[in-house]
Amino acid sequence: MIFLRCVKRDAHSFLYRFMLIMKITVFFIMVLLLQAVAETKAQKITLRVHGATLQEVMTKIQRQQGHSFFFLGEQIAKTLVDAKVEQADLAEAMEVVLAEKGLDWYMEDKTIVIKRSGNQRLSVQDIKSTEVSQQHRVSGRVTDEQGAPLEGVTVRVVGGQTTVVTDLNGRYSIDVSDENGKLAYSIVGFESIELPIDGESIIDVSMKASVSYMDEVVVVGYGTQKKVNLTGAIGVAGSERLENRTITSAGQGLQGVVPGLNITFNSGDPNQAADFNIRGFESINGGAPLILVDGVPMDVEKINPNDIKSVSVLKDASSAAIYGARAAFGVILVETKKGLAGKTRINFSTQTTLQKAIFPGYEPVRDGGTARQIQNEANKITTGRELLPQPVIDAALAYQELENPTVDDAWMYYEGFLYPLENTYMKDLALRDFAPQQQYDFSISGASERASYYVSAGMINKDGFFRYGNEKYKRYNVLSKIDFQVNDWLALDNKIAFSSVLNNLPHNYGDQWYYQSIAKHFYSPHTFPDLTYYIEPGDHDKWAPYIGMGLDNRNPLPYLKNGGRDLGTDNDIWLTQGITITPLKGLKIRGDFSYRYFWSEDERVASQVDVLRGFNGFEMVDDIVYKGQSANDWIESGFAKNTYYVFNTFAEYVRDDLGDHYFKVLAGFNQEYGMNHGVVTRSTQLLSPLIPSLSATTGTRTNSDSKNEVMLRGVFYRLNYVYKDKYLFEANGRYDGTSRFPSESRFGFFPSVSVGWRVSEEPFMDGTSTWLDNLKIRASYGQLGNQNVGSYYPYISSMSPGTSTFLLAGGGNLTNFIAPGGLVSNTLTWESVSSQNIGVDFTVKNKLDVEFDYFIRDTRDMLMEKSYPGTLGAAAPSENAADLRNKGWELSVTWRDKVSSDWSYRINLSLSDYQTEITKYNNPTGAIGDYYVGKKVGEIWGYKTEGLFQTTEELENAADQSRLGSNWRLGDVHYADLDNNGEITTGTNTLDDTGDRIRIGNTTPRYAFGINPSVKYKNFRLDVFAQGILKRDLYPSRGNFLRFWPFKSLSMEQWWIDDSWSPENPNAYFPLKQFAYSDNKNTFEQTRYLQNAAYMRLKNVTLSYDIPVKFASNAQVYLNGTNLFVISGTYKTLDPEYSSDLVPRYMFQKSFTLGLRVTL
Amino acid sequence: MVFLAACKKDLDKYPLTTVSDETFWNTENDLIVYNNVFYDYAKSNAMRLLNGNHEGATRDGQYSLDGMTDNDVRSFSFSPNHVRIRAGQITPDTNPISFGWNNTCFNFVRAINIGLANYDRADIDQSIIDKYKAEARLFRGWMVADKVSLYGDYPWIEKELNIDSEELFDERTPRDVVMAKVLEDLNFACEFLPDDWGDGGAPGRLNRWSALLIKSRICLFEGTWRKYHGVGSDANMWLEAAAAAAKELIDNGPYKLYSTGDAAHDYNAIFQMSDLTGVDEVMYWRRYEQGVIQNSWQIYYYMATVSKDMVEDYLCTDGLPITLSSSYQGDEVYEDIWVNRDPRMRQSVLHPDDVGYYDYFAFPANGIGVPNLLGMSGTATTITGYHQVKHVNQEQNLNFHDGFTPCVILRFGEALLNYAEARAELGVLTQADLDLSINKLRDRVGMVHMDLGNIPVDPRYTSDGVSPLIAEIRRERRVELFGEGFRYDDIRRWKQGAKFRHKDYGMRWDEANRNRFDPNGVVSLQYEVVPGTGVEYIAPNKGGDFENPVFEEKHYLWPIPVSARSQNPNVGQNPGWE
Repeated sequence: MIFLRCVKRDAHSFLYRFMLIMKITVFFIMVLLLQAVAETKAQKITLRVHGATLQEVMTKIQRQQGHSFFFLGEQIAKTLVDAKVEQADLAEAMEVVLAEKGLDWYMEDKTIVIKRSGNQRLSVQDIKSTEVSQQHRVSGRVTDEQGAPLEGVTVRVVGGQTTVVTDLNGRYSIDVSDENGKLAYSIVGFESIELPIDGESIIDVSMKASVSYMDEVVVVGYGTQKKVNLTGAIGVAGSERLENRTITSAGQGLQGVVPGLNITFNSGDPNQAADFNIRGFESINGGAPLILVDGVPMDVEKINPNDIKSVSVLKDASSAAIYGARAAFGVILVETKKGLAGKTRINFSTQTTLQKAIFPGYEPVRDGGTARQIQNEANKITTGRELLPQPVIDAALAYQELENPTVDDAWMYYEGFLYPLENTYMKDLALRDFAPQQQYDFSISGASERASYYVSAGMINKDGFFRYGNEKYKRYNVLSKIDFQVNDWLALDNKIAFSSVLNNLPHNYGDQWYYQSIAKHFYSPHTFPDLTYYIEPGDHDKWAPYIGMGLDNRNPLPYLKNGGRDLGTDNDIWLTQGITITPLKGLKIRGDFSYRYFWSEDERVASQVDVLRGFNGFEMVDDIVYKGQSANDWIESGFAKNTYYVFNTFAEYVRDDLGDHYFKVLAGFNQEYGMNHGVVTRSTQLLSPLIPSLSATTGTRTNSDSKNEVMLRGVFYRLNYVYKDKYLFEANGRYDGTSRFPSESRFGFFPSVSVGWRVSEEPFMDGTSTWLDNLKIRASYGQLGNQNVGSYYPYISSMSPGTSTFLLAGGGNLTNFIAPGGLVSNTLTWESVSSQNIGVDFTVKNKLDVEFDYFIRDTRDMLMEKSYPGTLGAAAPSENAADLRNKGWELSVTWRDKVSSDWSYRINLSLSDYQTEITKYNNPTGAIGDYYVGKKVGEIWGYKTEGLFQTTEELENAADQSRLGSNWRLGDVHYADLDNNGEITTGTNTLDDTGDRIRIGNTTPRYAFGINPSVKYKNFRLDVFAQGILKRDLYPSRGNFLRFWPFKSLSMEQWWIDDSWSPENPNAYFPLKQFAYSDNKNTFEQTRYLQNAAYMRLKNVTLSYDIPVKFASNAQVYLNGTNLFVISGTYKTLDPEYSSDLVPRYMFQKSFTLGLRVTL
Repeated sequence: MVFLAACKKDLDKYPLTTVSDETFWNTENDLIVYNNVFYDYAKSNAMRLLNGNHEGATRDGQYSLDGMTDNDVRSFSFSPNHVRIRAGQITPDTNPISFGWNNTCFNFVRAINIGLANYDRADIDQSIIDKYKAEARLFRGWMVADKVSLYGDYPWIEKELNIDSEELFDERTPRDVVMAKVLEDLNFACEFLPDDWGDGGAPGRLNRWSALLIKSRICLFEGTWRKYHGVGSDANMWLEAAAAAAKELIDNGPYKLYSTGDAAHDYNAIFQMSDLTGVDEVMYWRRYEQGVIQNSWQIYYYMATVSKDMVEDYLCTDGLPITLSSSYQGDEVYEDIWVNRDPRMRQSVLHPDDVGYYDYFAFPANGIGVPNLLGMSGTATTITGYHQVKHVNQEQNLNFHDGFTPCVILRFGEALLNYAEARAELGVLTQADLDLSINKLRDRVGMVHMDLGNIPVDPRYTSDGVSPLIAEIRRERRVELFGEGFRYDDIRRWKQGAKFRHKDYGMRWDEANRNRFDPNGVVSLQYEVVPGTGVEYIAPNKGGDFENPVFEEKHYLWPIPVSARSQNPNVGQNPGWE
C-alpha cells in the first residue's frame, strides 16, 4: 500500500523520517478525499426492510439522502411496506417502497410528499397554510441531561400520525391538532417520555439516558464500540468511580473496581505509583499492562483523576491485539473528558482531608523498667551479656512505681552515661496524628456548533506525618482539549496535558527515622534534659549548652530538623495534534502526533547535623557533640530529560446500511520513539548547609550520565462483522517491530479473532424476551508479544565504563575502569502470550447485569536466566526458554433498581481469581528455590512446626536441629522431622529431596473482590466500597524487624512481651524472648508463623447531598472516609495489603474528607 | 508491510554510553583501564586479596580476620560471621561468610580470562602486553589459591565459558592440578611484572616484588599443608619455591623494615599512618581518602579485643616463654603483664600508660582507665580486658564511617617470616637464615636474637608434634603478624586445629582485680576459673551460644554451600560436611 524507499540511515533521525511519513499520509488522505467528493454527488440508497412502517422506512431514507418527508393523510405513515434496494437513486427507491400500496409521491421544496394515489397534489405552501389554520405548532429543543443536543429524536403526536425527527442541534417543530394532546419523544439510548402540550408552543425537553448497558459505548483500541457488539473481554469504569473520592491518583480509585484489574500499593506515599496488573501473574520477568491516555502512553498516576471520563480495561488478546507487542498483559485505555454541547459549564470542586497513618497493632511498652529488664534477659540469652547495666534497670523499675516523678527522677547518671529511666515513644515525638491534604479542581467546558473545549486545572497539596521537617507533596495538573470542526469533512483537535509534581522531603539517612519513628528503642533518650545537675551538683552550667539537643543514631529528630532536604520536581508535558477527515459517510481518517517532554530535577542535600554521642544513654564526655551519621555531608544534583514521540494514523470505514450486515474495517500505522537522558553530579563537603549548591563545596565531585533510546513501529487492523445483530465477529492484528531485539527477530505478527452470539435475539428465545434483555456468549483467541523485557539493549554485550573506590593513586581520584561485557543471547526475541477467553453476558429486566469470563493465558518463551553453576562467571544471559499458564475467571454483577421516584439503589460486585503454573522451565536438578515445571507461582516452602519446646524431655527427644541453628532451648521452635531421619534439614533443596520442608502455602491472591453498593434517596446518596482478597498466605519476611520479629533487632512493643514464650506463658505465639540480629533459627518459613492474609478493607464511604440552589445547575457536598477499617486473618501487627510486608517508609492512611462540588 | 520490512534498520539502536568489544583492545591505555577492573574485583569481600578495611558497616576487612581465631575475641553483635567461624558454627546450608564460595570470584576469573584472550590484539610491544598479562595472572593465581586454601579442590577455569560449555558441570579440579596452574600463573607474574610500574606507587599497581611475596605466601601454605595433612606430593618443592621467592625479595628488593630506632613504637607505626606513600616496609596497601572512600576501622577498632592466650604467647625479653622465664611477673597485677615482655606486646595490647600516646579513647581528659570493660563508660569497651592497639590511628579518631586509615596489605616483614619458616620446614635453616630474617624483626623492637643453638622448649607446645624450633618460628609469626589476618590460615595449614578448641578467656578477674577495677559491680561480663590455674578469668562468651568452640577434622576445609551443589551436583562436598 505504501511505497517509499527506505530513508538514508544517517538522515536527521526521527524528525526527518517523521516529515516523510507525514507527506505520505497527506498523499494517502488526499487520494481518498477525491474519491469521497465524487461520491457525495450521487448518494445512493440501500434499504432492506421487511414489514416496517412507511414512517420508519422514510426515516431511513432521510438519513441516507437528507430529504425530509411529509404524509398527506393520517394513516399513510402506518402503512406496512417491504423493500429491498441496493444503491438505488431516490426515484428507484420510492418506486419500490410505494409499489402496490396505492400511494404516490412527489418532490416539493426539497420535501418528499406522499399521498394516496388519485388524491390531489398539494404544494407544501398550501399544506402549511391549510394545516396551520387549524393546527397548533410546537417547537423546541431536545437535549440530554448534560444539555447536549440530541439529534434524531423521534417526536410523535400521541394518538396521531404526525412524526418529526430532531436536527443536528436537537431542534424540532411539529404541528398538532389538539393543543391538549401529548407529545412522545424517543430515541435509542434514552428513556422515552411523553409530555402534555398544555397549549404551549415551545417545549424544550431534556432526555434521560436509559440505564441499559446495552446502549453503552465502550472505548476500544483506536476507536469505540457498542457494548452489545463486543466480543472480547473488556471491563469499564466510568468517571463516577473516580469523582468525590479521596484519591490522589487514578490507581487508588480503580482498585477493586474492574474484576481482573489488580492494583496494589507498597506504601501510602503519594509518589508511590500503583502496581497495575491485569488477570494475574504475567511472566517470571514481571510485566505490566500498557496504559494509554487518549491513545498515548502517559503515566496515568500523574494525571488528574477528575479529568478522566472513562477507563477501559482490555483483558484478552482479542481486545488488545491491536497494540501488538506491548499489549501482552492487557491494555488500559483512559479517556479524558471533552467539552459537551450546550451551555458552558464551569465546575469547581474542592476537598479537605485529614489523614491518619495506620500502624497496625502498635502498642508501646507499658512499664519501662520491666521492659528494660526483659530486654536485658533477652539479650543475655544469645550473647551472655547485658544491654543496660543492672543498676540502671533497677532504677527504672523503681521509677515506674513513682507517683509524681520529676524530670530529675527520670534520669540517672551511671558510669559515664546519662540514662533515661522513662520511656521514649518516638512515634509520638516524631509523627503527627493527622496530616492534612487539600485538593482543588476547576474546569470550564462546553461546545458550540463548530468547536468544543475542556480546560481544567487541578492541584493537590499533601503533607506528610512528621512533626518536624515535614514532607510536602504537591501536584499541579492542567489539561486543555479543543476540538474544532473546520467544515463538514475536516476536524482538528489538540490537547495539552501538563503535570508538575513537587516533593520536598527531609534527607533520608538510610530510612533510619522512618523505622525509628515507630517503636524502636523505647529506652533510648532523644533530647538532652534540663536537670538540676547531671553528674554531680553544680555542673548544670557545664552541660546546659546541650539541653534540647538530640542523641545520635536512635533519634530521628535532629536529622529531620537539620539534616538537609531532598527536593524533586517532575514536569511532564504532552502535546497532541490530531486531524480527522470524514470524506464520505462511514469513512473516517485520523492522524495524530504527540510529543512528550519530561524534565525532572532532583537535588539531595545531606548536611551536617550536630548530635550528641551515646547509645542507650548520653555519653557524658567533653566532646559529646559530633556529626553523627551525617558525617559526610554532600550535595547531589540530577537532571533528567525524556522525550517521546508518538505518531498514529488510521482509517476506519463503517457500513451500517447493508440491512442484516454490518461491517467496520480499521487499518493504521503507529510509530513511537523515546530518548532518555540523565546527568547526576555529586559533590562532598558543603561550605555551609545554608548554601546547597554544587559550587559551594570543597570536596570531590563525581558525575555520571545515562542515555538510551527505544523505538517501536507497527501496522494494525481490525475487522468487525455483524450479521443480523446476532452473530458477531471481530479480527484484530498487528505487525510490530521494536529496537530492543536483534534485527533478525525484531518483528512479529500478532493476530487475534473473536466471535459473539447474541442468543437473546434468536427467535427461539422469544419466550424470554419479557425478562431477558440480553444474553450473549463470547469467545476469543489471540497471540501477543511482550517486547518489554530486559534492558533497552538486551541483545548487545557492551563493556561498560565504571569507577572503583580502589584508589590506585592519590589525589582523590577514583580509579576508572572498563568492565568486561556480560553474556548475551543473540537469538533473543519476544515473550509471546496467547490468550483464550470465553465469556457470557446477560441482562435481566434491565436491572441485573452479569458478565462472566473464563480465561487461559499462556506466556511462552519467557526470558529466563537459566541457573548455571557460578563458574560461568557472569550473570547468565536471558534466553527465551520458559513457559507458564495462567488460568482464571472474572465475574461482575450489577443490580440496580428504582424503588420510587425518591429511592433508588445499585450494587456492584466484582470477583476474580487466577492461578499460575510453570509449564516449562530449565531446572534440571529441580532446585525448589527456583521455578520448576509444575510449580504453582507463589508457593511457600517451609517446615511444619510441632510447636514450641515445652519440656526438657521434648527438647532432648526432638530431631537434631543443628543445621538450622545452635543452642536450642525451651521456648524455641520445634520443627517436625517429616522425613524421619532424625535431623531437620533442607535436604538437597531439590524436588527429589526436600528434606523436612513442604509447601505450606501460596502467596497468590485468590478471589479478589470488590463490592460497591450505593443508595440514593432524594438528594442524598451513599456510596460504599469495600475490597479484598478471600484467600492468600503470607510469610512475614525475616527483615520485618519491627512488626513481626522484634527479637531480630532491639525494638520492643508490648504485644511481643505479652505474646512471647516463657515457662509462665507456655501458650504464647512467639518463641522465647531473645535478641539475635543475624540468628534466624526460629524464623525459618514454617506453618506456625504462616499468615492468613485474606482481608476485606472498607476502602471508601461517601455520603453526598445535592444542594438545591438557584445559581448553579448542580451543587453537592460530600463526606468521605477512606480505609476506615480492615478485617484480616494476619497477626494484628501486620497489614495484609502491603505487597511487601516490611514496614513501609510511608504508612497507609485512613482519611476523612469534606468536599464541595459546584457546577454552574 | 513492505515499508516496515524495508526500514527495519531504523530500529537499530545501540548503547550510547558504553564501549564495544570490537573497537576496544588497541592501546596500552585500553589494557590499563581494563586491568583496573581487577583491583575493583580484588577489593571485594568475596575474597581475601585487597579487601582492606571495613567500608560502611561491613566488618569483613583484613584486620578483622583474626576474629576467627584464638588471637582475638569478638562480640557476636558486631562480627557475627567471625564469631560463628571461631566457634565452628558454620553449615553447608548457608555460605559461611562473605569471602567463602562466592560467584564474584568466578566473575573475577572470567574478567581475567577475557583479558588474557584479548591483550594480544593490542598493537603494542609484546613486552608491554606481557606486563598486563602478568598482572592478570597474578590476580588469578592469588584468588584461586585463596579459595583452594579454604575448599581444597576448586574449579580451575582458564577461558571464558558460555552457557553451552561442558566445563560448567565439571567436578572440582583436584588440588594438585589447580595448584600447579596457580604456580604457573605466579611464575609468569614473577617473571614479567615490572619491578616498578613508574606510577609513583600510591599504592600503584602490584609489581614483581609483590608477586614474589604472594608467591612465597602461597607456596608456604601449600608446602606445609601437604606436609602436615599428608596430601598431595612435593611438599618440599613448594617449600623450596616459598623460600626462593622470599629470598629473592629479601636480597634484591628495595624494601626494608620500617625503623627509626624507636624500638618502643616502630613495630606498629606503619599501622598508624594516614599515608603510606614511600614507607619502605609497605609493599602494597589500600588507600582511602576522606570524602571519596572512607572506612569504619577507626570506629570499630575497639571491637578487636586480645585473648588471654595471645597475651601469654609473647616471650619475655630474655627470649624465654612465660612458662620458663624467671623475669615473667605473672598476671596478678594488670600492669605487670607487660613487664619484661617482647616489646611488640605493648605495641599490640594497650598498656594503661599508653592511653594518651595513642589517644585511645580520643578523650583522655575524661579519665577513662584501662582496662575498660563492658558495662563501664564509653563505647570503647573490651570484653577481655585487653584492648588491641596495633591498628589504632591516633590521627583519626573520627566519626562513624569517616576514617581513612589505609590498610597494609603486603609488607616486607612477612617475607622474612615466610623465608625462615620454609627453611625450617625443609630442615635447612641456618643461623645465618635466622639473622637475615627473624632476628631483623627482633632487632627492630630490641628483642634478643633467636639463637639456633639455644631454642627454648615451651612445655605448652611440646605436644604440638613439631620441633621446638618450628614451634618458636610459629610463635614468632603469630606475634609479628598479630591482627593482620594470618592466624586462621596458619593454624589450618599446620593442622593445629586443637588450638581452636580452647575456650577464649580474657584478663585475670579474681577478687583482687574485681575489687580494684569494678568496685561497684558495673562490669557485665561473666568469669570462671580456668582449668589448671585455679584462678578466675573473664569468660566473655560464657552462657552464650559461642561458649564452647568446636573444631573438628572437617573444619580444616569449608563446606561447599548447598546452593552451589544444587546448580552442579558434580561439585561434590568436602569430607565431613556431607
